[in-house]
Amino acid sequence: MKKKTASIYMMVVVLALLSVSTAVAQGNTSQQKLPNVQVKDMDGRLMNVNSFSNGGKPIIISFWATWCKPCISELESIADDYEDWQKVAGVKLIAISIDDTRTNGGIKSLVSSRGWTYEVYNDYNKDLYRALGIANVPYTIVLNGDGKVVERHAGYNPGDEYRLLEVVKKIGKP
Amino acid sequence: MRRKIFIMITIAGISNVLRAQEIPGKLSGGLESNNQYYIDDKATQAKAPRDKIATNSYFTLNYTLKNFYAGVQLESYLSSLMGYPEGLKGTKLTHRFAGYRTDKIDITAGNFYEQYGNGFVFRSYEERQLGIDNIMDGVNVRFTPLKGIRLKASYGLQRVLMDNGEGIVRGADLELDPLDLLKIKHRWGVTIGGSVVNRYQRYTGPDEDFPPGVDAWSGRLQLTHPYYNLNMEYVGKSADPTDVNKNIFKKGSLLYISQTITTNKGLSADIAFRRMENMEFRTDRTQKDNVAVLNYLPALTKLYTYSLPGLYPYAAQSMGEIGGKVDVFYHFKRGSALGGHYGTKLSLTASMYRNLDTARLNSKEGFRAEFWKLGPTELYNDVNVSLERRWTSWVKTIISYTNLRYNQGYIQGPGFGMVNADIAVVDVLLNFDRKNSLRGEIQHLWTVADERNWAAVLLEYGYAPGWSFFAGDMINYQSKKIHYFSAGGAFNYKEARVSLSYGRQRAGLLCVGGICRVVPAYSGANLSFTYNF
Repeated sequence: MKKKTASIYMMVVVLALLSVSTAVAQGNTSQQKLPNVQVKDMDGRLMNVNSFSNGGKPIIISFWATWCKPCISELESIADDYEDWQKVAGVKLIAISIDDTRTNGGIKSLVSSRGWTYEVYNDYNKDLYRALGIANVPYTIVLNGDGKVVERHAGYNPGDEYRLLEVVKKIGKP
Repeated sequence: MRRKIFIMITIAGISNVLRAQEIPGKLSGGLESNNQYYIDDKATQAKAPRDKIATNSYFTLNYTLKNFYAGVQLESYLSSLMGYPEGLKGTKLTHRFAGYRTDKIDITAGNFYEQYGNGFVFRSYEERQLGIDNIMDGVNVRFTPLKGIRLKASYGLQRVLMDNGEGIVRGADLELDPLDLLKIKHRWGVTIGGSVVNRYQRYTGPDEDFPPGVDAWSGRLQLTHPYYNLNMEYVGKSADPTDVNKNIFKKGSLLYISQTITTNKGLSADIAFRRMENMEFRTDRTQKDNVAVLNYLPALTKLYTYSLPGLYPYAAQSMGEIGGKVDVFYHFKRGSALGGHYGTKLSLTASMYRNLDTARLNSKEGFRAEFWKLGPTELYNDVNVSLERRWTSWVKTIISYTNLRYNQGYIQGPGFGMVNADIAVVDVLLNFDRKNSLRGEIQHLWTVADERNWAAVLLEYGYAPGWSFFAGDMINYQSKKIHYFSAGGAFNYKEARVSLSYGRQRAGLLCVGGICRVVPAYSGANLSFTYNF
């Protein structure tokens, strides 16, 4: 009996936390910046995530992994039109891989052979991924010119990239 | 009970304050919930547990205010999904931490994740699908006094299932960029580093020589260049008798060499080599499987994403293994003969692992192994060729062929033999327009071993941006003739994702990122929900 009441209390706590967080999230989404977490660049140097910038233009952050097929599909389909995207919306794409020691030796070779011109980083122990509460890749975040999160999207369906372009076009406008 | 009421009041209080005014700082986090309804299934001999409904849920909340940060995670296993470690049960606030972070220093008190070097001596991380969360509870410091010097120091207990384990862990890691420190500008980057980790667990047995403390240390070197990367690490470990290694007093070692070569001509490659012996490192010497593991020893092989090559996943052999992997990528440029209008991507992967050349010893050491010699037993071998090509704006195909040799007896246990299998996969994606897409997979596996030949099909329909549906089947048509069918759908809306599926799961190894757990056969419906903010 005691166990049961305890678990009921816990459920209430969860619900309370959830309602708090959604209330806050709704009021706050437009003001969130990225947390001050470090990721590694392709030379193994640590880089502060809050120093990402694109001269006041929007940034797309795409979480991916070398073993994630939909992630590569998404980055491939954007790569085909990336120059246009940069022209039209001034957008920059930052691809953050969550590969760990098992597969992170292959990030640079995969990116290089596919000819991707994105900025690529490795969140090697998922510090950033976790700080943002992400559960699965692919996951996409759009930052506006002030570095604030304006859009988040879990998963990838072929065609999602067109909607993403609409979003960055809209916020890219002065 | 009083504590719980206190927590509730606090939360209610905070939430009222939050609603009343704009709070300073930022909140982020997420909710993940996996629910399964089990049924009995005669065909696969899957039996539903007594409680037919199982739910694993995780809720995280992080708070940041300028340089200050704090967070909690609540986990609930009511009841826990089949195949998860038995000790994961009930509901608990499993993480709570607070910290202070500037560009020079980052101090965390409470729960923290950390990794030294490649993780071979120390990595605490979470992999929910495998039921792994070896988060530490103590103090962690990351200190960067100068650009080019990075120091980490960690101290604490490790989470083991729902509580902290009894093994005490302390460690430090130093990383230097000598060229930066000497202010030399160069195309090459050099990083050197080293770690030490000590674990102490009380020993009350009769053996006077038994080491309650175990040390592991490592040295590493990293070279970087626009077209070349080298990552080397050597690890040594003191005698660590455990239940798993039958209490031998053998020292452990690991050598890892990884290189990446790229060109601006579309050709690139990465090559990894690893040799290890007796490298299992736990905070609790009586645990097994993925519980209380302190270091990270993934299988360095290609991670297959298709279901049939995934039937025989290699798992790293921490007692003794020598081998490596090569990946070669080539991009046939647009407009070339083989590239076609959109370009063609070729990838070639091969890996080979063997056991060590060992001699049994009568002393407490247990065995002796030659360093630079391959052992007599083949553990795993694979070769894969994949071609990815877009034919028109709306048709894309991936063709893949794999040959693998998998020593099932060595990896999964006695009663199995060597599996030699050939696998062909054809994957076609049709983008009808900007919203509708259809993807189909046909796979076939040829082998005379184990459950013999397999065939599999999968259809996936996507309606961007929100909806996707799939239906698939997989059958071992020469042996048990069981259809492992599944079907379902998912809906994404911004940061939320809900998915529902129904089908059969085959008993076997489930591997994520090269770490595996054994899953039982089950049948039923699954409902998953993720949301973050």
